[in-house]
Amino acid sequence: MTYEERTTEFKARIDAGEKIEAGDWMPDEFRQATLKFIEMHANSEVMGCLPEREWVPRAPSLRRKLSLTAKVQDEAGHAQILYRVAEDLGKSRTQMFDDLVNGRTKFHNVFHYPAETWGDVAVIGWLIDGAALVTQKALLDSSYGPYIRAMRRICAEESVHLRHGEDLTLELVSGAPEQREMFQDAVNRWWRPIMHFFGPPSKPDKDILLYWGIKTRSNEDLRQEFFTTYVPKLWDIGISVPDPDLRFDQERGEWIWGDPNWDEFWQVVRGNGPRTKDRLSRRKSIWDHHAWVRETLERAPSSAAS
Amino acid sequence: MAEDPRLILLLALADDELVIGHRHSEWTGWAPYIEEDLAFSSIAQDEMAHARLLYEIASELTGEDPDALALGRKPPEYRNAVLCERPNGDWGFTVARQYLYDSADEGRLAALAGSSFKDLADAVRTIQLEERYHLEHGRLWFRRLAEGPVQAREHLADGLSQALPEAMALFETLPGEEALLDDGVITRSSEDLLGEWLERVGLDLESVSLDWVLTEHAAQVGELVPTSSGALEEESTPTLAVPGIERREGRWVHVGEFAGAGGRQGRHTEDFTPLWEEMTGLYRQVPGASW
Amino acid sequence: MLVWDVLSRRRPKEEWQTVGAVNAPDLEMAMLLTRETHFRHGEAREYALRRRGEKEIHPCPDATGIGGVIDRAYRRSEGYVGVGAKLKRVHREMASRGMVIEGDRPGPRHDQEEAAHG
Repeated sequence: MTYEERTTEFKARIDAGEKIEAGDWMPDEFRQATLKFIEMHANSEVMGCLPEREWVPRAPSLRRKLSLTAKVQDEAGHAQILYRVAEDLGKSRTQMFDDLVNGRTKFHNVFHYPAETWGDVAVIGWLIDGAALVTQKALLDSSYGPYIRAMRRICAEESVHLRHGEDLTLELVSGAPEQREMFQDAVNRWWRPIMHFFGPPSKPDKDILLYWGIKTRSNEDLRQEFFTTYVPKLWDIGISVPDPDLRFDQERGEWIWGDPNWDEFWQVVRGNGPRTKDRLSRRKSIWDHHAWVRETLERAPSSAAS
Repeated sequence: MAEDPRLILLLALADDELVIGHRHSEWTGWAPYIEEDLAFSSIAQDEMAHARLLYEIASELTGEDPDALALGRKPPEYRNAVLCERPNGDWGFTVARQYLYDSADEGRLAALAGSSFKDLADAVRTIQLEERYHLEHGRLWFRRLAEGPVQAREHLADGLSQALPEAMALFETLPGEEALLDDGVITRSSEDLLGEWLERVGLDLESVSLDWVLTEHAAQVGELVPTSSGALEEESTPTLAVPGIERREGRWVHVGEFAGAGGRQGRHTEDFTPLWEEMTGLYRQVPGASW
Repeated sequence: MLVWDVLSRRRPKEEWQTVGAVNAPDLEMAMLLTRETHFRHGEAREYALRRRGEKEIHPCPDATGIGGVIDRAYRRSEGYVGVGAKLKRVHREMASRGMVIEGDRPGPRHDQEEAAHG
């Protein structure tokens, strides 16, 4: 069978809802697109540790110190899981880390921004994890089997994070005026990055990830779900959304939202976000300094395994 | 009024666990190897959870809530050994400190499990169940690095020679220790526990031919310092003789002074103030707030 | 570094299920790390490792204390059971203070979410 015939057959499997496994034959285009997508997801999990981990040492109670440490640990755990899935598509984790710290690969826009106050911890924990859960739940129906299994575990943990974030939020909004203000201020700063998080509207027929069934829902569709879930909750607790154009259009049955400033999005994901260089260079300095640890592990006697 | 010696003991134990847990938690998100990121973060959480358990007992004595004890005291009121407050530095120092601290903790907890102070004895027996993992972790990494390559041995040796003198001061005599012994709150003196620990550490070091670190150490901890913001700093480290360790009749024993004493009296190093400011800043910012 | 497939089961004698993999230089290190990479929330009572490409299964000799002995509810959903009710309480409080923001909203979805978490 020719490459083209096999590819046609492969595409038919996906269209019929079959799941692809790591050992299956797959067209290079599928392998590359899947690897790139999962690698970026893994990068985002590992970079996603950084804004929140800044607040682990500053958490204002023992309980929050524990829960925030555990939450960031879970994000590192997601990276561990996802890098393993990506590795089985043919790129080593060392190479992926090396590409990340040297700015050759990307990670999600929201992790390029600073976490200025404890209010940011609540916004990240509730709204950003909420946005992530909307997109991640949609991946449970992906065409790549190992990714689906990883996402099942990740989504289960994320739904705990969401409760955690909501809990942090509710303490702030029902607390002292300065705590409430802390949260509103964080929402104001994070709203646009959250809109960007879902990505620009794309044409389904041009989206390679949709074509191969790696993703199953469009960016705008997911953003609409986020609005529907979170905007009413924010309003209910008296927190405003910094978008004067935002409204639900009953006739069209969809949310109308304002100027997204996609220039900012493109600047950020290309590596020019407010904290991009800082975070990457710190991660790189630790990564480079500890090359000796990796060498030790690579060269460790593996007698127990033979 | 003199402070209840039981409170001093509880705070010394809890502050050790809180402060070392705080340092361990700083690796979360960028440990040099991602599986280790997760393991180390769990150890951090265990230590901080143990601190919470001990502060809860202390709060029965003082009437203050555990968060106020953990985050609401002034720096000289913290009684942790200074070893715990040192920045994480290089992975070699991190491994050395974790191995030394958790092997010291093992001996200390074993003695406290027989305390006449029932709440403490009960808590200690629970804590011991989790400390087993820490010890296994510390010893495994200790062996891996000691087995080489050469570079790994050097990093471990540097870490050990930095951490060792101050690790001894985990056994600095507590204020009011005699009364604690008389009442059976502690069953063995700090000096007694130190002797046992040092002998065991000496054997471990001899078994991997790193016992020379018992007689030499670096003057300054903090050769490479990933702070909570992750910045690295480098300094040179002159070598000094370790005070207080001698080999007599085939055993490593403690004589005379401690290098890192003072922690139990509330005297800390220059590394403690920034740690304290960061750890307690938000708690102090909105007094009485719920988070 | 070697790849170790992580297997788990809830009851003795059940079939092992593959739940992931870890990178580790040897079995001892893999065993130590897997406990926290895969079972820190108490996901299983027993686990085992199998080197990628091999048949031999190495069960963990001692999995006591998996998921933590002291209260770790903050790692799991049971640590946050009251949150749905708390949202409603804060909503009522904001309503009584006239601070709720009014606007058109799609009703059913929101209610479903509430019901799911309430």
